[in-house]
Amino acid sequence: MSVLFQLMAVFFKIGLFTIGGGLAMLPLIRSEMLALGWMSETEFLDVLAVAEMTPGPMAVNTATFVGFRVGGVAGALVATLALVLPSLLVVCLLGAVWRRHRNAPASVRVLALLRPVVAGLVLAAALGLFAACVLPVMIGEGGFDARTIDWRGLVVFALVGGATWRYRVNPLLGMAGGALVGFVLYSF
Amino acid sequence: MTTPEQPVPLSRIYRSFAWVGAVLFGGGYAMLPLLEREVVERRRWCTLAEMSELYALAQVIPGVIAVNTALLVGHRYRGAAGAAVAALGMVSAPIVVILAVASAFVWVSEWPLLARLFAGLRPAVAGLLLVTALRMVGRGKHWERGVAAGACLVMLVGASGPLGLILGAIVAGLLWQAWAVAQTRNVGTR
Repeated sequence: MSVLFQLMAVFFKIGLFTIGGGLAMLPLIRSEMLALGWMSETEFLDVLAVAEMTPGPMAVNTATFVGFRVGGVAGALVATLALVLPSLLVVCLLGAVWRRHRNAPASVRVLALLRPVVAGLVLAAALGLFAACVLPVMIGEGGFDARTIDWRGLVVFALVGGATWRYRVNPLLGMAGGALVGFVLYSF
Repeated sequence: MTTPEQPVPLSRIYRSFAWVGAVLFGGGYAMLPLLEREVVERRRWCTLAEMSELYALAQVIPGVIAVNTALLVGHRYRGAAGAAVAALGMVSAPIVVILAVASAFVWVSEWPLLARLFAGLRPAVAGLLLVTALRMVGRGKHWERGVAAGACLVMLVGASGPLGLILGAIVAGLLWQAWAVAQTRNVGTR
């Protein structure tokens, strides 16, 4: 079996059987790579570091990079497209059904509940991200210690959040500005 | 949901999602402020409420959530072709960037300079995301804010992941419908 075909099979399988997003895929990709002997543990960690620093969804970046390492340019294309293909098929199959029943009373009620639930999920994600990059570990020896707060992160968070809230700045500008302010602050 | 009178061109869908994919750093949720800007504010393809519906559906479909959201938005406006084009847009930047710089990136990622640049990016994304979340919560009615606060709390204490909450909301919505149907039947027979 050629490497390209194997890549396609592996990533199609991972794309089809993970529900819950890209982060749930990373352990699967790791175990497949180790089992197939395509990568060592440290090589996979390198791939993750790069996937985090390059733009795009992290699982897609990981698949692209793994495909590239294993099968060159063709491998990168095959792995990425194979990862996305199951979702495309599911969306096309369910999309037509969904379109027909979007305005059915049951759908309207489900959506009425889903909207605030998603808002709550996003709020929790934002708070979790905030805690991860600004607050210290709060539960532990000695409890909360204000001295361990990352004030640089707090400044960037407040500046970007405030500017977006007040002036609706372009999120790209917010990210670039935040990275630059952070760069200056973290240099001290 | 409103459908735009003019069909959205496929090339426009591709370019919009290529932009989102190119400036996205972090998990699927980090895409929401970008999607809000591009799809809701700039293109006016859907409202913030519709965007959160599609984002909810994206969680219960297998695959990467950011890609699923792109697929659903694309499918919503141009069917299968729109979905395919949106997903291609989403993965374009990763493919180009990784093919161009991946090999160099392994040693570049060790640079302290780059680490400092990324140190500021994370709190910036947190700030952007909080604003999007507050806009989503703030537009709701009182009971909707309550549900949002409850869902947020369940997540923060770690009682459930996003998938569990969304499946729970779907089941609750169906039960609500069944209850409403039973109510009207009762009224009808009396």
